[in-house]
Amino acid sequence: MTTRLSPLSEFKTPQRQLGTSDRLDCWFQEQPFLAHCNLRGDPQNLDFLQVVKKRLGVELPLLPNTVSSVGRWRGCWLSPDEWLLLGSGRSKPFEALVSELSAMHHSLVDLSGGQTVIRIGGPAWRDVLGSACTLDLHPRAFEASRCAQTVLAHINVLLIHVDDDERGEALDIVVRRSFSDHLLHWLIDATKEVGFELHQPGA
Amino acid sequence: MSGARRLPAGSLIDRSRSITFRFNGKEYSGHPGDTLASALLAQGVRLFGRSFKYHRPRGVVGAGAEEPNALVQLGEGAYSTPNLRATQIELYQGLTARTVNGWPSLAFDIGSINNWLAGLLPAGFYYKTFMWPRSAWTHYERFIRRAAGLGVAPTAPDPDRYDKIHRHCDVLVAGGGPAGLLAALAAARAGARVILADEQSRFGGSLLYSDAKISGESALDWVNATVSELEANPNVTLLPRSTVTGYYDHNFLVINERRTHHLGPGQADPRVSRERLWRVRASQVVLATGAIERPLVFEGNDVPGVMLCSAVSTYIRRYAVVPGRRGAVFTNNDSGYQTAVDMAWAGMEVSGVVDLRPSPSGQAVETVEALGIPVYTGHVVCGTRSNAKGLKRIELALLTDNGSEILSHKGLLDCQVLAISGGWSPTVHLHSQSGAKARFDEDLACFVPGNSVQAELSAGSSAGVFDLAGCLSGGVKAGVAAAAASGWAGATPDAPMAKGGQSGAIQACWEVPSTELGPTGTKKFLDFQNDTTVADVQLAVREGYRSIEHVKRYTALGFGTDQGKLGNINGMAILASALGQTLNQTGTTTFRPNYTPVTFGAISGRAIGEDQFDPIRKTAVHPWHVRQGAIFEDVGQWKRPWYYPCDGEDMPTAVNRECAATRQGVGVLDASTLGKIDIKGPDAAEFLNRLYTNRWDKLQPGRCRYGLMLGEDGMVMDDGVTTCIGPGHYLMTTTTGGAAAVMGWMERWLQTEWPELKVFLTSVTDHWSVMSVAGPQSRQLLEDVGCDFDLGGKAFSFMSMREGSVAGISARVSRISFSGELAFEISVNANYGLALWETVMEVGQRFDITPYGTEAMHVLRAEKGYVIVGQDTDGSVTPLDLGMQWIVSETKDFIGKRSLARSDTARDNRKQLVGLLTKDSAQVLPEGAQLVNAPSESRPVPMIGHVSSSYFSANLKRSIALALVKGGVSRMGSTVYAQLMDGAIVPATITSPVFLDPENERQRQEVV
Repeated sequence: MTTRLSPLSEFKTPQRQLGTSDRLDCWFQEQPFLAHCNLRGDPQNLDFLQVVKKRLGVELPLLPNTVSSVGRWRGCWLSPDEWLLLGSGRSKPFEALVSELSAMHHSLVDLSGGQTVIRIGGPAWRDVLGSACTLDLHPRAFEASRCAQTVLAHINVLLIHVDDDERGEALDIVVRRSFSDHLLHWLIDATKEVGFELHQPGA
Repeated sequence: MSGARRLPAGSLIDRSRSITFRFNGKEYSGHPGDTLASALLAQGVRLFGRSFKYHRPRGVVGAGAEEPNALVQLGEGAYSTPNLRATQIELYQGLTARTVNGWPSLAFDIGSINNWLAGLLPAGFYYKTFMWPRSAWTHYERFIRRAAGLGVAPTAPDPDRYDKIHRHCDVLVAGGGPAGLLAALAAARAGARVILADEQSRFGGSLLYSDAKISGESALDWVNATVSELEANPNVTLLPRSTVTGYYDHNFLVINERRTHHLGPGQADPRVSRERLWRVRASQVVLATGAIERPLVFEGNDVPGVMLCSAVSTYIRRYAVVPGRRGAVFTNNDSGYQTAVDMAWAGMEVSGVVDLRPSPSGQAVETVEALGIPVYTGHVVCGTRSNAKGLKRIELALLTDNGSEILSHKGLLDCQVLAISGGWSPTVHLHSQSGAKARFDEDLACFVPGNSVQAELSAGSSAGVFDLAGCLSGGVKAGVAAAAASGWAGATPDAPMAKGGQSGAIQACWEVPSTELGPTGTKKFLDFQNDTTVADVQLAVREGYRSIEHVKRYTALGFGTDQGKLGNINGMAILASALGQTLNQTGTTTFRPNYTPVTFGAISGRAIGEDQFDPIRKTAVHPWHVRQGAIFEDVGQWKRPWYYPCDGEDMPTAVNRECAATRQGVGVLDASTLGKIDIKGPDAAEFLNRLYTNRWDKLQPGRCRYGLMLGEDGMVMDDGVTTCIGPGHYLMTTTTGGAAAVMGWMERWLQTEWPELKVFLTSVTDHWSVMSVAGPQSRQLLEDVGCDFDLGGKAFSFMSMREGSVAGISARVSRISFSGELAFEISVNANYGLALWETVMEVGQRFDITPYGTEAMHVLRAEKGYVIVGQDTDGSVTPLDLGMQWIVSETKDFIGKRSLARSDTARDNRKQLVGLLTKDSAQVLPEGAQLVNAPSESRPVPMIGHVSSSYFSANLKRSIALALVKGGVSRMGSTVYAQLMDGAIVPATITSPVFLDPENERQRQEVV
């Protein structure tokens, strides 16, 4: 049995570090082994939208920088003809989707090995992100079902607002594999004053 | 003695605690709440520095950012900071500071001889004297720079942490005086997200030294209550010790927050940043930045003891400092009278208020007269008398009725402190930085904000409103308007009440007339820091300067760390008068960020050091490389193994071993960093046809092809192998460093030039972990590792790709080679990259498998004459220059094709890629070495090319090099000479760039 390793599985750092008020106001957790698929197609083509909805259950968002989420799948708007499909669990619904899409001009590319998700939460997550992110992440401006592509510390990322069931409001940072270790180190360095805790995947 | 002392009670200092500190090597003490300037003034220090040019003794003039004289080098060693204003340094225990000018000592400054040589040092003397002859400047410069002084940069690395934060808000209020506090309060009550920043340690602005009452309570009580309400509002961010230093396009502003300066070096929690740079995008901006008092310009006005009225009042009321036994006021407006009241309140003897207005009247005048202070109306101060400790007496004179000349002298008045007020200049810096143009208001005699260009408005004295009641109501109005404009319309709160009668009009005065009785040649200083005088500006005009910007540069008016906050307006008025213009015609110099200097630490933030300056990219196999002891090389942002030293090997030994093993057995390279782009769509082949120089429409699924990409100028831009995955579906590889640029280039053509092509691109660089297994035993190794398809040369020919499983992992395997050996490139989902690598390495033990790094890769490809784009090309090399005409199609169009027919690209004798063999086979030429035809040519020696790649080849047992040489292809066998940096001249023979296996038999190996 060959072992698969998520991009941050070998990430080395202390598990936690207290902030200046002896608190741990920010946590990070890798969301490993999600299905990451980049989908491109014509949003004017109703058949295209239909097929995706039928096979994944999720309606492709047409409003810029929004996410639609149904069951195990999240569809994130990236550009007028591009979405990122994020799937949890060991789902492989693709054969059917691929064959039904084959008749129309599209591109469905598996990026599961090339990206990972860093989830960041805790009372201070907005301030920590603010050390790098030029976008307005205030709750008035960045709320549920919003996503945005931006640059953090010179690294391209996709930010997705999430409601983490137990831990409250949080943010998923989709980052390329090769940058993920650097980005997490950079973000942890930004928590010096607020403190951080690293949650193990699946914990 | 100056008679300076501290009041026994009142003010904002904490008398219960004492702080000791050192200034110019001498110990002093002060209290929490003091600034360095206030603590020194309280102990009778009057001499704070020497001026820049004449090295004249100078004292403190102001109490804030406008201070031109009291510049100090603060702190020691790595914590040392140059050119800080003593007026803005909060006192802390153990503070050390010294003046930045004054050598060998402040009291005896050898440079003050310039004061006596002043006649030889007019405006522009640098240009007139030292720039000719040109070559002499380098000689003079060292001495001039030293004499000019100013502080020194610390030589040790900064031990502190600096960071940045990005923030959006509805309303940003710059300045927390009465107007700013109320603007913030009004906007916050309406529900807006508000940031309020003030450069001082506490909010209040002018109220910190005011005896005014607001809504019946003391100004300070009102400030405290207002700040408390703001603090309690979760939508408000309060930033004390924070200067809004820059106002940029699209309402983007930068705030420099000084977080731990006031604690002293090494005292703060190391986790807390010393400074924070706030980068704020504001929907609306309220500028409540206050106003800076203007000096009056008269002979001898730079003597220590001459201070702004507002500064004297500040030192008295806020810091309880009585700056001298006896004081006087010289003013042209009502605000000077308050300072006379403050002096009297502090127990100073007030020699008089000298008011150049012929008949001032009103409450201010009456109050002063009621205190028994003489008021000299229609008078001026026309001169000063001083000793080594500063001001002793002022000389009074009566003006003519029209104020243009001195009518008669009226004798001397004793005073150690002369408080001067020439009116107020609204701090329009941020307004001007926003792109707006300040306009001169004749009635107020100052520049006031003009029409807004961005979403900003001014309130309070920065808008030219100089009475407290007006500032309070203006603040409310601005806050309500800004909140409403950002979508938060709320109820308008009432402005608090403040008393204050109508004040009398100012009488503008830019220069007190000279007196015939005064000592001749006494200067009237405009810019204290740069020693620019009225005469300098007038000289500039006589010499033909007309533009304020030119005069600034010629006279140095407004240069320096204070950027002319004190003297600029007077200087502009003098210029306007010399030019016969109005002030609006002359205008102001450009106000540029930053308002006050910002440290480099704040600007760089956390983006410093090897770990955080630039992203570091790592492959999936990176942990293995680290465990193996690889030495890494930076390729773009990637960390790539350079070589893997075994048992203390040096680099050449390791590289030779890696090269030999790959040619003789099997080597393995982590090739994951190459750019990979998925190209899909019915027009994908046509798209590739247009991008690459060769044809793609016949490439069958499962086959690979090498491509060369040119820029529109016909020069080689990128190269790589592209594989046909299926009909209308390709996977392109690019160079490691060029990946992002190539992806952008392709998208640009698709989106802007060829939108009709149905093609989608997706970057898949990170998805695939790629290992290249190369060497004569690579096929055997893969068979042992376990592949579910035939690896034989007939079934799996060179330049083809198979999808299947390798070691049980779903993989794409390509028979492509950059080493010239039989080679297989295995690509797997990167989550399995390390697992595959470790499996191959384990099985490979029986073949003595050798991991090789980028250096061996470079040597191996150079032996084969394969170019690396960006190393053997430099943006000026065509495919023909590389001898690659075989890949340039003549039957189709492609980007760059037309440029290949340009006369210059098509001419003979261009630099062409060749091989070079040194006569001495052990000598490795340095890359970049210039080549000449003969070592003995007359100068200038014509350069005929340069070495682009150069290595020792273990396989060939000699050095090899690739070079670009003029007409090189037709010069095979001839000798060229490399000129080395150490003067050595190395002969080398031009050869084919292919040093090994020109028939490509090793990599093809079609037969098992």
